[in-house]
Amino acid sequence: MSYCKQEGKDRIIFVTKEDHETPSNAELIADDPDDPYEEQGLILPNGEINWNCPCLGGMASGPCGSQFKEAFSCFHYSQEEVKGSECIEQFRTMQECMQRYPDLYPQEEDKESPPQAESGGAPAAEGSALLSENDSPSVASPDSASAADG
Amino acid sequence: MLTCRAVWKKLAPLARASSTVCRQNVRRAGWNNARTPLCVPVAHMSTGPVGGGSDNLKYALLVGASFVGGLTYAVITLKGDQKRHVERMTEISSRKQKSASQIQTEPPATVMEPPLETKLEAAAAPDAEAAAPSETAEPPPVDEPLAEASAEEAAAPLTDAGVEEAADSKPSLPSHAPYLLIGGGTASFAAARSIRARDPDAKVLIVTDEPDLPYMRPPLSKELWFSDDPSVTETLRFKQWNGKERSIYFQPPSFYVDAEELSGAENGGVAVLTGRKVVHMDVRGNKVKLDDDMEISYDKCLIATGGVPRNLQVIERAGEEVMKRTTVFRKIDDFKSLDKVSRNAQSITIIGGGFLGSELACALGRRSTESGLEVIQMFPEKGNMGKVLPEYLSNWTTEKVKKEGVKVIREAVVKSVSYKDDKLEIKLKDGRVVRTDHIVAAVGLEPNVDLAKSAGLEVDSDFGGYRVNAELQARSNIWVAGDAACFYDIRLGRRRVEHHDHAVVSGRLAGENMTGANKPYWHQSMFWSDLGPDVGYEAIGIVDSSLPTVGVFAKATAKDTPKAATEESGTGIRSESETEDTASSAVAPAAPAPVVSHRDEYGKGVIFYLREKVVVGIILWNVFNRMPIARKIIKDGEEHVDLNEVAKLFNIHED
Repeated sequence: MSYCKQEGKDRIIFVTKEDHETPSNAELIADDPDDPYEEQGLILPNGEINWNCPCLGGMASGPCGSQFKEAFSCFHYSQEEVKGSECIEQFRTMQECMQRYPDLYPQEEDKESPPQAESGGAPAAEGSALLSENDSPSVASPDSASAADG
Repeated sequence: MLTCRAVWKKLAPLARASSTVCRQNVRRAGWNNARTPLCVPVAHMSTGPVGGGSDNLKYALLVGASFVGGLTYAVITLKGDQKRHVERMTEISSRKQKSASQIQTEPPATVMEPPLETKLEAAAAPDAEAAAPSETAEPPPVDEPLAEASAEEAAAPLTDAGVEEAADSKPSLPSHAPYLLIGGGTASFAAARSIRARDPDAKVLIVTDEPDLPYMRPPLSKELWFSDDPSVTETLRFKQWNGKERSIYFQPPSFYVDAEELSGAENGGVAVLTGRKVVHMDVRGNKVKLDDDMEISYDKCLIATGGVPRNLQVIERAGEEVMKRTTVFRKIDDFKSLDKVSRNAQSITIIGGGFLGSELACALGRRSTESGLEVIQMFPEKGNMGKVLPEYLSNWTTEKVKKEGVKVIREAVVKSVSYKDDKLEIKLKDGRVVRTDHIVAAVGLEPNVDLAKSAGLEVDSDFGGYRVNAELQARSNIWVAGDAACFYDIRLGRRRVEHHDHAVVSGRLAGENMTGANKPYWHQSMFWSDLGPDVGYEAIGIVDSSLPTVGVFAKATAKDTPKAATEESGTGIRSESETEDTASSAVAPAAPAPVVSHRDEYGKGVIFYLREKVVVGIILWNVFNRMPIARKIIKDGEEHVDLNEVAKLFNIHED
């Protein structure tokens, strides 16, 4: 059974699981998905890629940033049946660039063939396929994550 | 005498002509050398009548002496130029691999040609007319050709000397940066990344007075202390959830471009100038000056200078022996030195009961179990985090800190510190005395506003820091982010925040606005803290213990600890799952710990901080991965009648 106590200006409520089983009647304001102030995901409301998405880590800002952007853009706007099949050249250029910076983009086997990644058509999946194996962007991601204290 | 006058009369028109040429050349070339003063008085004299005999002699001697002096100077300068030229040429040839410097020397060569020619003319002309009033007829004809000859042979080296001087005066470090970021911390790095993402091929220059590349601070008082690696002070690496290690540096050195190559970098890049401090800012001229007198101009500038840890006045006045044994904690070097101290000392006292003090106390307390180190923490408040947590929770937390092996001294105000019998003696106002080997002062941060005066920027008197608007802008081309920014938060009002995530969020926003986004501070940053394995919380908004609070708690099980949360959700730095989509990297959860109900009442829950019935701050107490809901509630800014209903949204009983 829940109970309540007051310590000066602070109120303390103890609740059991049952108390919280009934759905909340607190009202939340509906979010506007096109709100320009909000942090956007990987794809902006107008369909473009948000290069500043934290999910991309440092991929778009590093030394191979422009090559990455070209490859990814090509993939994103690709209308081919096999999405991104015409982007082999851009991905190759990007890989060549990344090979020059092994400690930024560790070379791993699974990461060798990005255009063949199946995971949906979403470039996000594309990105995470590249990124999840890669220490570097996940190196990049926690720093933009909120590892915070005082 | 008569011969002198005759010679003088003959050469007077010549002197007059050459003097005008000389004056014109001086205006053009702008050189200031011994020849210039000679021009003017001679021009004067050429029109005036010559005086009496003895005067004439004195006059002639004077002019003769100055002519000889001038000539000597000319010869010495030319010889010196030649010598410098030879040295410079050898240096340049050894540097010929660097194409940048080569490209630089060529344009200055062409620029230098015309002024050099006029310089030669000027050299010849004053020589000629200085020769004019000379006593004997010998020096002028001899000296003229000599001057000309030396001028000629110096012509070639002079051109190069001029080029060298041009190359010398244009160091290989950039004198202009389209994006200049002052300060090399978290906010600055986040801005650099944001700029590079949005402005293709952007050239970003970071200037920092620290010797290190940008790094993150939270591990310095948390993860690095829990590392098993004995060489952690060198490697500065810590373990993430997946067992993989990472460095505290945001990026390895290869990510950055050399500052010298920034201007020529085809795709731009981020360059970091370490160990330099910006000492003066000229807002009107859009440039800054460094402590080595180098000037850098900018198009857009970010001030992210952070702050300097405060120290207690009683310690600063206590003398060198005490200061030697006191650490203020902020940078990598502070971590290294405190680590060393903790291995050698018998007793360490931490003054300060906030985030940093409490985290360090817990980290050192954990070490104390192995090494027998005595860890004391003292602060003026009634409990740990006394300015953040409501009293009941602060007390509860203090008990937990004690369990980590820390001797907590509450309501302790330091009156004096002295060095006695090889120990530090801390005397408190209420009479208590603490004897210890080393002090760590964690008593707050003084925001760094050194540039405010020269830049003419406003400093906030309530919160400190540079006063900026909701878009973090101080002036048209100047933004401020991170600890040093006192900004207007549309929802919560004017504030200054000293947390890591805020540095990231504000740095990103500043970078976006520097590339034309014009967005206000809207995405609320969060912060978090772990005090040992049993107490962890995430918080957002204004979390000030002086505000009325409503706390909704459930009974905690053993599963509701930060340790369990990290294993469960697969995040080492818990907040990774917050901002990143990489929470998809699912890790098979560790075998669930047996359900144990704690005696403690405040196992897990949600605490709301209210200002005029509106929730302005939320603490998630041992519940994790619910920050988006908390952020939403604050963003709405609604008056909720029943906060228990709001608390239901958090599902605190679930994991």
